[in-house]
Amino acid sequence: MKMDQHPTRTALEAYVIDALSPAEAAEVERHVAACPSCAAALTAEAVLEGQLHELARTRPLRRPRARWVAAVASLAVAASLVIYFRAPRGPRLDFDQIVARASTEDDPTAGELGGTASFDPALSFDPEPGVSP
Amino acid sequence: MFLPARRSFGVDLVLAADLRYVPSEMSKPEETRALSGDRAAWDALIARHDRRIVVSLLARGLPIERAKELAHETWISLFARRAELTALRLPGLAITQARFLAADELRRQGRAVARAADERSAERVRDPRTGGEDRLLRREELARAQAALATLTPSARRVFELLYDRDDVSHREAGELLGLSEQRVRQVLCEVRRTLREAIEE
Repeated sequence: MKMDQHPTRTALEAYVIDALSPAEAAEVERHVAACPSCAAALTAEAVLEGQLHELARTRPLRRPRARWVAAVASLAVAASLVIYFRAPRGPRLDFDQIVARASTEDDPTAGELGGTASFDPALSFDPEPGVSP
Repeated sequence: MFLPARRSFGVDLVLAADLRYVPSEMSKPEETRALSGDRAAWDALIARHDRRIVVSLLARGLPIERAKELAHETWISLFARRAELTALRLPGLAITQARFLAADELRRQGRAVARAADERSAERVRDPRTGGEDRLLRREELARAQAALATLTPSARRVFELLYDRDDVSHREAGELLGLSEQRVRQVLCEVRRTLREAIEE
């Protein structure tokens, strides 16, 4: 290839996949450095090369064995969901019952006071620990 | 062919990240010898992987001359930091380093210059989204490429897997594994690229 000749697409592809001799590769580089249209064509080949590596990385379920593993895992998840939703449950509590139960557990006297425990700061604040007022 | 010593630029960040990697298998003998400073091993690794690094930079819109310079600086930085590396995973480590150098260069040029560079790069490539970043496959392109991949002959698919999935297999080694000549592997590879290019550009 002479300096003023545009490299063919095959030559640019061969450059990208490293199939040219060092002399041929140097010739392509010299031309591409001075030729914007060939530089664009070489960039397109390089972009495709990156996309093929991406394709190789993202191919789903490359091997038949992986398909079996995925199928068994899917069945296991489905079975777990069926067992979970069909399992018997205790009676459901409504919101008021939950609040009343929580108040009773926090303060045993709360139930006796009708679930409305009051708070007296004077009873809980000790300004000088160890000294009785 | 060993590269002369040259100043390397801010490479610490990306190398520091890769130093934490512990390989699951032993490095190849050539890479092990390179880590111990064997220059012939470095020559062989550069000859084997340099084009891949240059191409990864071209895909980001860099001009050919700058891509080659950055690939050169990448090898220098890896050689200079070889004592700190626990494994020399190539070409992945070199590609990461080269892209870091390219991004660092853009940062140092400042936002205004970087924008201008992106615009110039965008003019050079077929798709304007390629400037400065890899042009990732859209979902429908990926689906078409996967469908095209399924139509390949088993032999062609094996060539594709060896050269793009394994990432570190040369054409000659792929030929030895598949019982094909190096020339035949390249022919098959060009056919695979043409099929997949057409599927992606469809």
